[in-house]
Amino acid sequence: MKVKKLTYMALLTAVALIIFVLESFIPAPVPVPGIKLGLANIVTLYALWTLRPGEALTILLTRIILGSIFTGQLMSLLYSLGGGLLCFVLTLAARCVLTEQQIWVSSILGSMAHNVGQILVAVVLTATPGVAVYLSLLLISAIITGSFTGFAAQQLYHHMQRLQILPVSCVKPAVESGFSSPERKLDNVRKNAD
Amino acid sequence: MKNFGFQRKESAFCCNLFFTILSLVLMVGGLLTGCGQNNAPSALAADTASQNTSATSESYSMELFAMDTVMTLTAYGDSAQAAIEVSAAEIQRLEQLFSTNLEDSDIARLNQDKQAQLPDEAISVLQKAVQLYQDTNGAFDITLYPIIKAWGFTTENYRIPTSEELQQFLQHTGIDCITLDVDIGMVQLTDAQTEIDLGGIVKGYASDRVIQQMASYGVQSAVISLGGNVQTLGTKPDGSLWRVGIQDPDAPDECIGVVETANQAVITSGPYQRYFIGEDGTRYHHIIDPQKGVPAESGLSSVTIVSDSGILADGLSTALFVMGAERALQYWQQRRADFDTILITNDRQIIITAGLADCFQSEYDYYVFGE
Amino acid sequence: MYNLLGKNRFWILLFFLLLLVSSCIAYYFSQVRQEQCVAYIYQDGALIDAVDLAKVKEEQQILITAKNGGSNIVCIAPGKICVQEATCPDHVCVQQGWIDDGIYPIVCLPNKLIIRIKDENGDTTVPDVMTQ
Repeated sequence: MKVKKLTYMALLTAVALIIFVLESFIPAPVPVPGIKLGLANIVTLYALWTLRPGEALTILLTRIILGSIFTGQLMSLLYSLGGGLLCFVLTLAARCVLTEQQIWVSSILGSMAHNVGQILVAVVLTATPGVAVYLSLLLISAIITGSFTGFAAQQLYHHMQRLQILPVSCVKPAVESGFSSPERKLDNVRKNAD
Repeated sequence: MKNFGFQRKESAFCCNLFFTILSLVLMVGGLLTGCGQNNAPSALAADTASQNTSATSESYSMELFAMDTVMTLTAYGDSAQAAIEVSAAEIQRLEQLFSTNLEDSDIARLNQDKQAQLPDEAISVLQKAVQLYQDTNGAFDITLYPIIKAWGFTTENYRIPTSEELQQFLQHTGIDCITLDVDIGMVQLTDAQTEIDLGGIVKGYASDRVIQQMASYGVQSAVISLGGNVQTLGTKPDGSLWRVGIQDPDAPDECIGVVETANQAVITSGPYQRYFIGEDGTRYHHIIDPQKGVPAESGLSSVTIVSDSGILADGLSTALFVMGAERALQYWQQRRADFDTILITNDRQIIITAGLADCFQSEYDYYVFGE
Repeated sequence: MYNLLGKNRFWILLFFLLLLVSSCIAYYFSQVRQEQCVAYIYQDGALIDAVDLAKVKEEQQILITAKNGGSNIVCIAPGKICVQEATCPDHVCVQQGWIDDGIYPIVCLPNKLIIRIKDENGDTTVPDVMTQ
């Protein structure tokens, strides 16, 4: 992995973390656990749409783990992990069929998956299937917050593209040449060596 | 993972994957909300089915007014209704026997004539009262009735007696003023000024009796509250423990903690239960310190006793309140097999004894004593 | 199929539908939950009225006369209930004010009136019985 790429990922992680920690200071607008804006998701989305899946996942996991340490809410780590991973999978799948004009769609789908994941963790942890009643509320909030973060991420994506400061391997031509790029081959070789 | 990309070739696979996951998520979501929908109406049905006083095959309950308070009896099972009707009659019988307020009760007669021939049952309750007096070094005393009257707690015409008045009354209190002849069922008050009041244990005795009655009718699950004195028979019909809430002494509409229990009495005494504000602006409550004749100020704001015996729990809740936390905990150490207690101090510390460590829950911090 | 996914209109429609369905479900549950807040009014041990406090839209008064000639005016409001006026000497029932949960019932000893809210929708935070 190139130093430039690593730095770039670290930068994204740091930005996501700062947003996450700052957001935890804002009191929840609705007194229902699990409902929040999820601004840090903008960075995750952006990473997913510009980097390779593994790289985006690394950023996401680092942000979740460090975030729960920084905000002192280790209890919510499991919820974040459950929601985050399901969100990641769905956003990734959405990325395969959507265009860059539809980042907002993938964001909403991801937010909904995030909340479903949280509910699943809650059902397992508290052993009360009754908490699933919240699902409808959480889906409503997911559609609203998801579209918000989605549009923000979409703006960010296109703005960055116009500024031409995306890492070389991430701008569209590089992605289209895709898996035959020498850099990725190098990565695979290293993995095999592990 | 290798196939992710933007080429048209791969997108068919991705499209399938996307839809599989989407439908899975929706299915899980649908299932979960489906479960919720099924649960809710059944809870609603249960609610309407268990209406009070409308007998269902499952539960029967009754609210009645006796002994100057409101009582709620709830029993489960086929014989619940019969058991509760008998219990209500039993409560009325005991009121006739023991109430100091009713002029023709046996105890009122004793106070008037200073001697009386009493039925065995009354003798055994009196014996229990004497025993509690001796056990608690006089912290539980049934001879305080003249003092309680002087404060106005019997008539609600409250006033503050002078200390000379109280000194005068205190010379005629103490268990020495009562002579019991168990064999012939004779009670004598040796001091002409002495009057007794079994209010401190009679509700506990009544709840013991009601639980016995219910058990003899084959009831396996019941909960009764005689003016806030709670006693349980067996567990809840579903086998789980009864959750008995303890009143918050500082906010009488709230619950400060919950004891999970079966087959036990849970009885609380506190100054907030009955009191008046004197002309001097001070609050005077109904738990009288037998040493001083004034409302007991022991640093406690509530004492709860959890015990197999209702009469013991009722008497001790008053006695331990008078003793204060330190003496109360010492007393518990000598008799930890008989009862457990929850003490709440004026500065809102909650102290529970070791036997309750596993069955007490509270949103506040509490200390476990004697582990 | 692929073309459909590329159209914003399709997604907007889908999300709006989901929003609508979820809102309906959420509304349904909020209704069901509130319906379980029923106040039972007993006079001398007999159930004389049961009011679903969730369905009360505006305040209303009920006059309840006791056998001893005394009376209480019970006030019902959305989600809560209280005794507003009473002929009893101690006025404990009036002083207790509004109740909206099943923890402590309103009791007027002289007039033998009990108002108890039953909340049996599996809320385990409310104990089965309270000491007093």
